[in-house]
Amino acid sequence: MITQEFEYHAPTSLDDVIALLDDVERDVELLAGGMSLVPTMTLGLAHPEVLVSLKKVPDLAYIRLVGSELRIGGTTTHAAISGSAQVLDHVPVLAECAALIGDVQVRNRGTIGGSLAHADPAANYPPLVLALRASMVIRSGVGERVVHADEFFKGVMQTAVGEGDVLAEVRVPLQAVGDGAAYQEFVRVEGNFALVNACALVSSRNWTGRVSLGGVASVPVKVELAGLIDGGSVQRSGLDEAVDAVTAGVFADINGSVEYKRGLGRTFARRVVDAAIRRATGTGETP
Amino acid sequence: MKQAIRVTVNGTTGDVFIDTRMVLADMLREELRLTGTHVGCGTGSCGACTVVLNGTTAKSCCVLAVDTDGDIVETIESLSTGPDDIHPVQEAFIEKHGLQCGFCTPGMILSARQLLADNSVPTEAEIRYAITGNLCRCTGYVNIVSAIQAAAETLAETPV
Repeated sequence: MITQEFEYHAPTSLDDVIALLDDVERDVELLAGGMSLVPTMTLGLAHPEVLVSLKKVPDLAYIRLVGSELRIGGTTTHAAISGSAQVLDHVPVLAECAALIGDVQVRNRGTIGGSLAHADPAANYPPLVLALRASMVIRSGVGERVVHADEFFKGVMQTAVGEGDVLAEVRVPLQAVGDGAAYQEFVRVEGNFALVNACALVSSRNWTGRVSLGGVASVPVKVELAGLIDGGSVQRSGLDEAVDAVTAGVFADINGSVEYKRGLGRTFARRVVDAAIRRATGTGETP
Repeated sequence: MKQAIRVTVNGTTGDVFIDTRMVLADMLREELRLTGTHVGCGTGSCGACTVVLNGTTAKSCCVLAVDTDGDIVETIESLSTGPDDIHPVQEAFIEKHGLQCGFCTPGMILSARQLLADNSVPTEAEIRYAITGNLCRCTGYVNIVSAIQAAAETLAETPV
């Protein structure tokens, strides 16, 4: 049972949501799917004074092809993303990534906007949006701004989404011909948060790309692959070195030692880069 | 503080005046006396609180009751009107001994029913993936999987 009192609002427009968020006197939180927020309130770890639900805001859940991007509304559920024909056609790695979040019930409620704004260091989307160079559209009282994934993650559970902000849309560039992407995660119990996860996007036209890792730092980290892939094969030691450089700050915890996590980082970086290369060259399994 | 919501539960629409702090699981159990929905972990892991919310399964301990204004909720109670009228999925769980203490069972059955509505011929791997969000401490899942396989066969012959 949640013990702390709070006010609840369910406004019917994004402008009304933002007006409520602009209350600087009180601690105001947004409620989307609730799969992170409600349990933290039940556990007494979060005590918002005002809760603003996005449930009645129309047109915030959608998946649209616009030019060379897939634009996904902030309250689109993981279930909708993993089952979307648009996503499966244009950015299949996103569907695979979403399908591995939690379980059926979690995916029926959890949203991409909620998940990215919450930015759990072990969450699935962060390394993916970094590897795919996605952008996040943030709406607030002063208007709309677009933040690239490279600038989005600031610290543990801290992102460019500030107090008066709503993560309204995620824009994912479409995969071009000759591109391949893969997402993999190391998880001990299916449905749990990953210990380490990785996502890679590779272009076979010029053998460039990026691999990013979650769970090895306070934010997802990235390694640029240009120069590390020789004619369709990744240089193991070069990749390992580059991964080690970005996992140097990993901290040990109940899930594993520093050596263990860095080892997982190297292994999963290698696996997703290999898988992405196979997909880019058409020799990999179709998603 | 309390707020009024209008929600449809098992086909009946009504107004409920509830504390904003109450989660859906507790509203169903305490306000509406529908105790088939169970509270296990209370924090979204075990799935004992699974209900069907607007047509798909959801963990009702993670849904604020006030946030269900205008929603349609179905609980395990909606699957049968009594011992002589039970759903094929429930029948299969009995036949295959897919439960021991029964605590996870309402949630497990609702998840099984959602799976079979989306995929009428699931493989074992697909069944296990579909019940990832329903934890059972008694059975080791073997008979649960058998029950769902049996239910799939029954429903393929006589869909409900």
